[in-house]
Amino acid sequence: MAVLETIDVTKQYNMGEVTVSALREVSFSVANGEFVAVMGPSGSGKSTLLHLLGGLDEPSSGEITLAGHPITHLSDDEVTVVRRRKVGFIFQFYNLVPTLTAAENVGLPLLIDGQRIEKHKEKIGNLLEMVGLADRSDHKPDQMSGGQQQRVAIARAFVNDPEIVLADEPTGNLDSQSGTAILELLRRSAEVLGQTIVMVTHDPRAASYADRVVFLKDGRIVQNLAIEAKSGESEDIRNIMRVMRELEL
Amino acid sequence: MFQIGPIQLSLPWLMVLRNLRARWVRTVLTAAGIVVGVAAMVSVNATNNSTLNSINRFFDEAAGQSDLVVETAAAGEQFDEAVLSTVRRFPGVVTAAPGIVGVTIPADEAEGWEEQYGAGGSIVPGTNFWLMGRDIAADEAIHTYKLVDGRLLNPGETAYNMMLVETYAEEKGIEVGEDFAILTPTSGVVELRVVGLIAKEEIGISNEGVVGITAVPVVQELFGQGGKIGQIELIVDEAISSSTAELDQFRVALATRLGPEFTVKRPASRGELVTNSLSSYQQGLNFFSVVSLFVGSFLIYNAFAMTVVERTREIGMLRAVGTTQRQVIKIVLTEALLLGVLGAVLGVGFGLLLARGLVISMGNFAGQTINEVTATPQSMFLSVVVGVVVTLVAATVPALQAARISPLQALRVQGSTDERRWLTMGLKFGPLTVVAAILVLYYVPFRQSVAFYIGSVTIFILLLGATLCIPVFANGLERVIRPLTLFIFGNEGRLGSSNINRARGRTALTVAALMVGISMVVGINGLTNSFEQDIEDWMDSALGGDLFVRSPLPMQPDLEARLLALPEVTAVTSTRIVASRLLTSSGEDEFALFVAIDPETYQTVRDLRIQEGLDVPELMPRLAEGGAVYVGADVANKFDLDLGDIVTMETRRGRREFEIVSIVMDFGAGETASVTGSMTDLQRYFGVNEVSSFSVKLVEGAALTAVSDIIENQLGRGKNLSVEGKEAFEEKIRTLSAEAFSLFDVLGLIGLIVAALGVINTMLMNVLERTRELGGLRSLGMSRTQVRRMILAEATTMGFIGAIFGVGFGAVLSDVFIIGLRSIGGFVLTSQVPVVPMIYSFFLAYLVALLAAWYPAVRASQVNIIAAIKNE
Repeated sequence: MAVLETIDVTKQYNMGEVTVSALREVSFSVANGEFVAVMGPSGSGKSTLLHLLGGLDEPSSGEITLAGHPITHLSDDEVTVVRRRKVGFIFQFYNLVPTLTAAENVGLPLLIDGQRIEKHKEKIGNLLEMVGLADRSDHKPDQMSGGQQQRVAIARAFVNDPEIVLADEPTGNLDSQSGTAILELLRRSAEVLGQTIVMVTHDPRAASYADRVVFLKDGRIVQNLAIEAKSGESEDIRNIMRVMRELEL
Repeated sequence: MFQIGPIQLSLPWLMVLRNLRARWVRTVLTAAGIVVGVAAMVSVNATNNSTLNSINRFFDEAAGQSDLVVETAAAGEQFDEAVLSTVRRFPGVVTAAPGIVGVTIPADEAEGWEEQYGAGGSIVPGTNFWLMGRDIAADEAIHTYKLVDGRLLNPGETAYNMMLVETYAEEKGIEVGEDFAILTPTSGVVELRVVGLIAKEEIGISNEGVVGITAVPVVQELFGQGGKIGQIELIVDEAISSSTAELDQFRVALATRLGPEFTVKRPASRGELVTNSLSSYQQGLNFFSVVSLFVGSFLIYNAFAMTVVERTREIGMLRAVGTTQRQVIKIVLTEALLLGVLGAVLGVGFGLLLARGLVISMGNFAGQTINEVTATPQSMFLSVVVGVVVTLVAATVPALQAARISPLQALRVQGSTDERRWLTMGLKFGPLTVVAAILVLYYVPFRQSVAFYIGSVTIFILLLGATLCIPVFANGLERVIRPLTLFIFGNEGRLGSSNINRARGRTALTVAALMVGISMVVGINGLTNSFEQDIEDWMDSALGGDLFVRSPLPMQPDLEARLLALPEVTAVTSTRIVASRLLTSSGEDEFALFVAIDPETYQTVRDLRIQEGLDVPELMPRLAEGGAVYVGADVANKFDLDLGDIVTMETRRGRREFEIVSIVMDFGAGETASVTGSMTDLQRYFGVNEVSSFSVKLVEGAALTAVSDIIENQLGRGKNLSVEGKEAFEEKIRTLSAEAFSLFDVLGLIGLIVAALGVINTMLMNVLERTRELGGLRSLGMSRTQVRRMILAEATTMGFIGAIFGVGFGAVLSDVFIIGLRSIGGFVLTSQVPVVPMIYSFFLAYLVALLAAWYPAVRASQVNIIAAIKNE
């Protein structure tokens, strides 16, 4: 069953007198528990797609449904609540709150939802353990490495049991070792927890951890590629690169 | 050089102009800080100057062309008109014009007449009608009567004819040819024919224009002053009057010739009495206006420090492409200079506007109509210079910080400031500075002449120390306040509250601005409360009585017996006040009041709080014996009088000595020296028998209004008695003191406005700096409302910390000010802890922070999420 579905989604921006189409009639769906990577060159519309999926922006036309509910045409407050309860975000620059500890940052979506963070201590503890930071729960962001901060961000994305996790270049700011750890973490969460994930990346190696890669070019989906090993195998990476070459991405 | 159209700009100017435009909100806020600070200074200065000028001009104008004035040494007394010929014969005198004033009221105002009081209990001009007796022939050389309608009085005309001031005639609906009825002590209601109307100019401005001009003999006759005059105005030979030194020599010579009973003075010097009594008050205003500018400098520093942080990358880039450190400093300081000049010039304009409002309050307080705001070009220029210098000084540290930015920092994601430095500096100097300043303020005595300046500087150092303490204590205080913030703002409150520890320097300065604003409010209120409490105490004990009986005309002592005869009256005591001069042992010669009480009856109605010397039961018999007086503690302090000292008073019988036998707690009549003696001495030495007021005590449960009616209508028929209940009288005094402090309140408000500007600035900067974080929070599902609440929580936490510091230092400020008043002005006030203002200050600080953070909060909630999370 599709957790996420887009039908003919188009996004246009008015830049003065020029209208730029970032997405053109994009239709695709993500099944429950599926890990999808979105690839494409700069300006292909992959980030725009991610923003639309997360309700950060509204399509110029078309429909987006999340867990069976349309998220287009909602008010700002309504779509905010959707983001808060159904979507988890992971950013390239982690976006942790510097005054909060790791545990507090993980609990932030709950805090925003008006819940008492103390009630969810165990869950937060488990998530930190899952990302391998159980011993860093009282550290503040500036006391952690980039990789550790991104792992906190992942735990934070999972804390509200979202329908979908949207990751925007999650390894873009990390060294290869930390990046691999993050990708393995995402892969494991998809497999073990059945977490649906959409990840935007331009790194073929990162994309090779997904179940499927969606290629975007000039605002359109041009290809879907299923991944075999889903664990960063050279073969998968080569396949992805081949498609990229074929599509001149 | 850059060529833009026809204008060539050097690098600093180009950068500055672009930056000021790009960050226009900050530009406006910073300029507003300078504007408000300078405006406070200018407005207070202009108000003070306008008041003094107005008073001096008034005396100058009313004096006409006269060079000197002869009066009795005991001010306000009448004297034999034979003196006139002595004066006229004195070599060098060209013209001498006699004058006499009969103070009364128009007959139609007899009912419901009440005196209005101004500064220090003086009567507000225009409450009474002055019938001025003039020698029209002699006046020709001295006064110009500008005729508006009818005719001028003829020289030698002695009929009951008068000239009225046009504005007053209009107010009264009197026209030329009609009669104007006044009360007189000798003949009851008398009608004078109005033959002409003169403009409210020159002599016509006396007593706010509530004057009628008639011949000297008419006043003498109507007021029972046959053969007496009140003053002589002179014109002396031009050869003498053209030189100040010679005129002074002449003045002394004439005074010597006339003897010690008389004084000869310059007309304008009569304004000194009023101006002297305002001096402490004006010093206080000056002090608080400078404090406002001080808060303004925090705001300016903060704004520039923020610009530097915000532009770290830009400055780093400039350094990378070859800009020298010196050039970077130049860019920042050029910006400061531009804003400083702009803000200060606008501040002067705004200050003058503000002064237009303030002079009205000041005028009411000083009992003087101030028609125009006068500010000299020099003082305005000085204010601009001070504003610019303060701006440049405040921007110097940020400029140096900017210069230290390395080219590498251009490549970093965010600008960083060394926040630990604030903490280290605070720990090192903060508490120490505060303790040192407090020790200096409380324990180091200064000479009176420098006390005000050293005191002011020490208070600034104290506030600076307090600012340094803020980073040290802010963290702990935030934790204390957090439960409240959580309670009000929920989980967003928690996020907001903890944010105050992020930019310690910025937080410290914003909290400091709030602290100074609040401490001004608390300090001013502390001062007001102490004044009011002392006034209340004084009214409770000194006023005594339930009713006060007064009259526009002198009352005879026999009225006391008739008042006592009323069944509702249990006790009556009388008071008479006469103007005189006091000569202290140190040779000072001061205008003074001799207050006479009746020692026999005083205690039956009123009371005294003795500070030193004889207690009331011994004091009264001692006063009755004669030659003894008591003085208020503030007068004793101001004129350096001690128990047992001998004071010399000018009396009608020459100089008389009185021994000070008690010093009492008193609410002094402004800063006018007053000594209190017995009615017997008054009669003996001053030859005065009439009574100024009676204090009446009623039987318990007597109906105040009924008794007032009986006194006014039965006892007072034809005598125009005015009866006032104690409460009404007290209310008048309360209104007066509230009026006096309204000017201080304006300054308190200005302090708060500057503080609010500081909060807006800081919160805007915080919002700008955390755009990406805000975007992140929004993407995590934080609603716009929640973002607003988070920002407001941060601001109100700062408001609360500001209030905690402000209340503490406000209490010190008020205490120090009271001590200062004692040493400088001679006011002895019992320091009151302003508990209520302290409590409401918390709400005030909270409210100011809340309102000021509203716009930044809205801006934060409108952050474009996508742009924000992309923002590196």
